Amino acid sequence: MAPRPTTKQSINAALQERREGTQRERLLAGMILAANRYGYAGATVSAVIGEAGVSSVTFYEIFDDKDDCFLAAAALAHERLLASVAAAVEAHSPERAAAASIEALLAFAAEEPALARFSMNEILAGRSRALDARDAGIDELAQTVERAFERVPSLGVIPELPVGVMLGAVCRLLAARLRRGERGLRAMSGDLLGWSKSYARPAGKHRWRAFTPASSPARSPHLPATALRPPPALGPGRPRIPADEVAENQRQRILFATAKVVAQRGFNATTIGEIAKLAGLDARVFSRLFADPQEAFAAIHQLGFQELVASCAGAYSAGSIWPERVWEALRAVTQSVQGDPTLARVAFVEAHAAGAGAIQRVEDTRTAFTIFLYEGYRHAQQHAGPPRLALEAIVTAVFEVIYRQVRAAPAPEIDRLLPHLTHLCLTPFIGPDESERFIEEKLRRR
Amino acid sequence: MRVSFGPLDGQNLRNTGGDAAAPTAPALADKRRHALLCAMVELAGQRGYASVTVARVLARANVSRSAFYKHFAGRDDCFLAALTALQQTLLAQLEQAVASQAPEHAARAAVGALLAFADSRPAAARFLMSEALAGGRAALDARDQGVDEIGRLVADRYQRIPTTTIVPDLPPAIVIGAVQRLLGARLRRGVREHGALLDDLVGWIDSYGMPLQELRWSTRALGPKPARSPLQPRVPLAAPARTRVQLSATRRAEDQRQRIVLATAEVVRREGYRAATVARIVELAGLHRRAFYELFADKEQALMAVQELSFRRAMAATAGAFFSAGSWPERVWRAGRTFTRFLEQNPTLARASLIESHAAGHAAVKGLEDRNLAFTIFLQEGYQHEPRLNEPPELALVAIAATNLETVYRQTRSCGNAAITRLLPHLTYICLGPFLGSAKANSLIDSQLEGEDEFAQRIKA
Repeated sequence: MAPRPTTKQSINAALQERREGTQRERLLAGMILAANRYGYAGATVSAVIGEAGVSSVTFYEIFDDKDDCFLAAAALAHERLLASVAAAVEAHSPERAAAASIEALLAFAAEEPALARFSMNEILAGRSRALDARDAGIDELAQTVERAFERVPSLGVIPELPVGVMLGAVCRLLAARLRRGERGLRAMSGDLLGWSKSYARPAGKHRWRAFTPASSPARSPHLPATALRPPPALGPGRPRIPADEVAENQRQRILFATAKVVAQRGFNATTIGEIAKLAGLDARVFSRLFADPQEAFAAIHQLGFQELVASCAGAYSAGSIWPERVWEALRAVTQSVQGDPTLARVAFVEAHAAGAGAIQRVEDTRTAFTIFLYEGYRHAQQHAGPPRLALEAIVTAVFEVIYRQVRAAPAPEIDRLLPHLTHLCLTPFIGPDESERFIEEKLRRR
Repeated sequence: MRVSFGPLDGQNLRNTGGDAAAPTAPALADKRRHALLCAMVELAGQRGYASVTVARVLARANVSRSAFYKHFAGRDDCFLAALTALQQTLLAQLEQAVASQAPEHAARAAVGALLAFADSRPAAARFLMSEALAGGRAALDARDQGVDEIGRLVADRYQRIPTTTIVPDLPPAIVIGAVQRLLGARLRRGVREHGALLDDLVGWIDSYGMPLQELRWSTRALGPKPARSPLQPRVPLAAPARTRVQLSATRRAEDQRQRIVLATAEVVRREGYRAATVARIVELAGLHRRAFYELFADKEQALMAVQELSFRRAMAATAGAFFSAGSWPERVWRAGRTFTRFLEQNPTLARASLIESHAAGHAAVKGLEDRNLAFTIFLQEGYQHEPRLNEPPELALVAIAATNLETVYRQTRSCGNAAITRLLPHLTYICLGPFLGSAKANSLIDSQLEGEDEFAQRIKA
């Protein structure tokens, strides 16, 4: 088990003091502490009862299993978060509902770091039901804001972006910072409010607040001619190619098998035996090439990321003006994700379950995609442009949209959300009206 | 015999027709030769060399076929003669321009003269700056030699000034080659009026300013071989191994495609694009001719697939390396290390994409230029890294891309791909200079080189 970082201890300290209470409450607090310390995978029943100071018999009297307890803890954290968001929205005019909800999230993260970290970060590592709970929770927060927005007259100016996406993105931004044990999260308020305000438009004109999929755009010419896939098995007998190439062949097959198993069963249920079996290799070959499934996952994640950047960069450079480039880049990205559901799951859903290294990598890749937005500052010279944190917020919001779509079984419509995603990326730089004109023009020309 | 050529793009072609006095036989031959060269320049400069045939040249020049073959061995020979003649005209203009300005501004003067030439004689300029790359190996040699001569004009001017004078720390010939590429792309797109680029280009060149005595990058002297990038694929791209396992139909088609693409690259590398035939390609791929035509309309399409494959693999590896580092200059170094390593590891793909694309017609050249520009995405962060009062203009990114391409192209032509990784410091400097200034870029490169040393020693240990 990894040594406990001191920052985590301090985040959890407040919670630790409130340990007294009913046994159920103590177990829930124990789960939150354990998950924050060791992640979902490390928060075993014994770790939880250790933190809670309760016997395992009691544990199983109250909960069916670890997941049951995990979900109950998630529900508890969500309840608290919902109460503070609802109170904040209530306290302000309906026009300020979005801003109030963002401020409430920041305040919650600052005042209840342990609960916030659990409900914004650790929950993403849980199994499918935990993700369902997380998504439903965000939707419920969004509904509080949406209900307030219903009272806004059509001339009232409010941000034109799906509230669930906005809140989901803010939660992800906070998750990264809570994980790193950062303090002073309230300071993000100015930049985040500035970001959401950059989408502001009279409510009567809104068009992008709900997802109404457009028709599928024509296939981007910047996608690879052949899909990413593993090399074929070498066949029986002694291979007639050099050892280097044999190892590379095996490595590639393991990577794609890992992706497949993870996409089907979730990372938490993935075993080396299953990966090796699907790759048609002996488990010993796996162990010779990789230390553990995390390492294989990291490698396939990196491969998928590199492919996506290659498509994105190729498409981006083909556009003449910046909005055009963004459109092309997004077209390539959305189609590429839509076309490869396995890698999409690996990149957008399962990475959080694959340990701290993988989470860090997801955050790094999100930062990486902000380079496609830098040019926006020079394109929109008349405006000052959004604050730096907005770039991260935009990419995270796009990530959140795709994550939701990838989870939306059975038929994600990522490629058909191209206009929405373009609006998300362009508007903070060129304003809602110009961004709409540009998208209209693109849709018409099609 | 060599005659002196005035404008070769048809302006004086019309004047040659109506001479009253009957010309003597040698004078007539000269006149015919001149008309043929003019026609070649005009046709290639307007529609690209790939579309020029001897018949078209004859029709345009109004000269008989037998007269053509009296002067030239064939189309390429005529092209080469026109190229050399035009280069001399350009060189003479540049000589004047460079001599008319202060020696420290020689590079600036040369670039200004190139722009003026492109403005005043677009067809001739396109012929020199873009089509010259399409005329096969002899034409490439002539093109490179012409660029070198202009480079020497500039370098010679630096000999006569105090060693503390600030001049751009770049190889002059590479700058000239890069500006020609940049103009060639514009001319092909039919853009006129290049004079407006002058300020931005001069600003870009001046951003590499260093005292003459401290110049470090003005030759292409190679740096040390950098350590192997951990993000680099272990083995070069190869055709899928033939397997004894039963494959699905789509899978088989995909494998065949990959085999054809790699075979195209190999044949094009060995024989040059124009000599490459579909027959040789399918022979090397071990496939039937039909398999080729099921996937590609012609060899140009197959070459574009080579480009696409090279670009994707290079971009994927480069992006992976770029995002693995912390600060932006360090990222550029790592990206460059992986990029150059990719080229070194895949010489066939590199040669086919970077050198032979020009011979394959418009779409292939545009493909190469667009994909080369795609790498400037890694420079965008430079604007955020250290916001300066004079940040490099947009055009600087295009110029940097063209300069790096020219550097790699020259290296690939002169000694294959063996030493491309050793150009890493050069390429990094070309990228960082305009954003950080030369002095700072130099010290960052030094610290990266030290890091490479340590890294290499660690690996050895």
